Amino acid sequence: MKQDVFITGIGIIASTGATAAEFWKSCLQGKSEIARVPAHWSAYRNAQSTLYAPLPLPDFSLYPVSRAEQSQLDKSALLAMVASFQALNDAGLKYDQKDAKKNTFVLDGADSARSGVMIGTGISGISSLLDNNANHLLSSHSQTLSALGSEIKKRGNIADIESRLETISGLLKFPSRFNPFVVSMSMPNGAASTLGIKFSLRGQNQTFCSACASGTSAVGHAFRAVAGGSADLVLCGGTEYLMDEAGGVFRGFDAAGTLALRCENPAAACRPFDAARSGFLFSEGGAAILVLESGTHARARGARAYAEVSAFSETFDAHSIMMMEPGGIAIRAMTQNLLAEAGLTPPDVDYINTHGTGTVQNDEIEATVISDIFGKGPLLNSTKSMIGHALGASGAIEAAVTALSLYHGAVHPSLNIENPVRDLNFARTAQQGPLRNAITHSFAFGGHNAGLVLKKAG
Amino acid sequence: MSAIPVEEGQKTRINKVIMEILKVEESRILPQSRFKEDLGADSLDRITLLMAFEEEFNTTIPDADAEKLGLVSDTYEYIRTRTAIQDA
Repeated sequence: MKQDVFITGIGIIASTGATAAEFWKSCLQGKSEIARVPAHWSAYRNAQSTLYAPLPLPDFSLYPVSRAEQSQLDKSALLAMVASFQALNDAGLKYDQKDAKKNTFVLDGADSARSGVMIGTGISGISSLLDNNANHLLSSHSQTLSALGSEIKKRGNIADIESRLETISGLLKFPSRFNPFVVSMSMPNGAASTLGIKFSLRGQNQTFCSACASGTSAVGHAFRAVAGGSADLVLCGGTEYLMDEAGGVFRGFDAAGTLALRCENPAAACRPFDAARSGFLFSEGGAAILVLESGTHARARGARAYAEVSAFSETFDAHSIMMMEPGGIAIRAMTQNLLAEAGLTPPDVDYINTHGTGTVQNDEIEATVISDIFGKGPLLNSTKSMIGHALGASGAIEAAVTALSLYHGAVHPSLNIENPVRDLNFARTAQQGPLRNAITHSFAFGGHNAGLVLKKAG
Repeated sequence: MSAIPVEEGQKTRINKVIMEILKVEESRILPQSRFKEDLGADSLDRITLLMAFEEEFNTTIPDADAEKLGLVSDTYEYIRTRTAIQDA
């Protein structure tokens, strides 16, 4: 028997909010946090883009996160853990300590064998791997350079050689120790494993690794598991942490020509769907975790629902590892699948939370497909216009935003649309009014497309 | 009110870290206590303890030194020496 599936809890950590409530408030205010990348990064290579969306790390002391966990887990796993506590609290699900030393918990009122974890991530763990590798690669050379500088100084400093050596030594960035947990910190399934262990969830535990579509796919597969009856409850979503000391991840995207240019005016650099767009805003990271429950499970405990998940579809471009297929053939097919599964026609969709990266190609193709299928009907916005692109976390953050939009009957503004790429119903300011059905979709490097239909909970 | 001697302060902080990581009562932490046999530390706990000591005392403990820290008293002495070198 097919189960109806509800989103009953939301936890979010993003650049403009450390909780879902704070983040949602920032969204409606059109708030954005943008900073210059660390100055020393330019010593390695001058990047075309110089901006990013910094992520203030949450105050871990507010959550049951131990010192050992903070030292042994990649930040992407820690973000997912904190967002999970937020989501469980928000859902009204209680948990008791199971093992004090391991600092693990067990959920009250949920069958652990029928409760799962599905997390999307693009390249989580990469900052742990890069930084720890730098410790081995650079620490002894840094010491040698410093010693050489001292020796030269003793013999009479020639042409500032000592200070030049010190400068080089200072640019060799590495953590003070090599973390022995680097393998488990670097593996992409680290976050999903962490949550399964932390909350003693013994059902399906999976990681979805499809770049920018990862978070959307994770929520979609969680929906499938609950709808199909193989799980009662799934903690699902996405997480990402992308800052390494030397900025290697940032430069990778910069070298690929994907990041926002024209950085003189930071607030105007990221402009999805505007004619003058030039790329996406790099995000330090973030996480969103949703509690998905079957209707039977949610109703039995009197849970509040933000939205119902009514359809999920994935397609693949089969075109290019880095470029979207120009005709949007697979995206069109995915959208038709979504409408068919949800039993909707285009006029039934009141809102689309777009992928909206702000890259030239993405926005052109996405706007064309939306225009062809929906015309000027649904309200559109881009959450990335405010918080930038957190890869595998972004689809989950946007699914959460879509659920919050349906629940509150409000749509956040899409920033910096002055000359829209198409004549569509973009929300240039915050909008209020009842919403019935909404789509959120993501398109990834590699060619993966994933989309969800959410419905206002009855 | 008299100042706590540096060494006593260090021991208290070391005990606090051991309690936090191994979840043992302070009464079980004696100078002669063995981390493995008496305090139940497995190999992962040992690594976690070292990292916590490093963080607590803003120092690094080379892997080669880790083997020397079998007893709680070894840790008191090691941290005392290590931080004295740093402060010198």
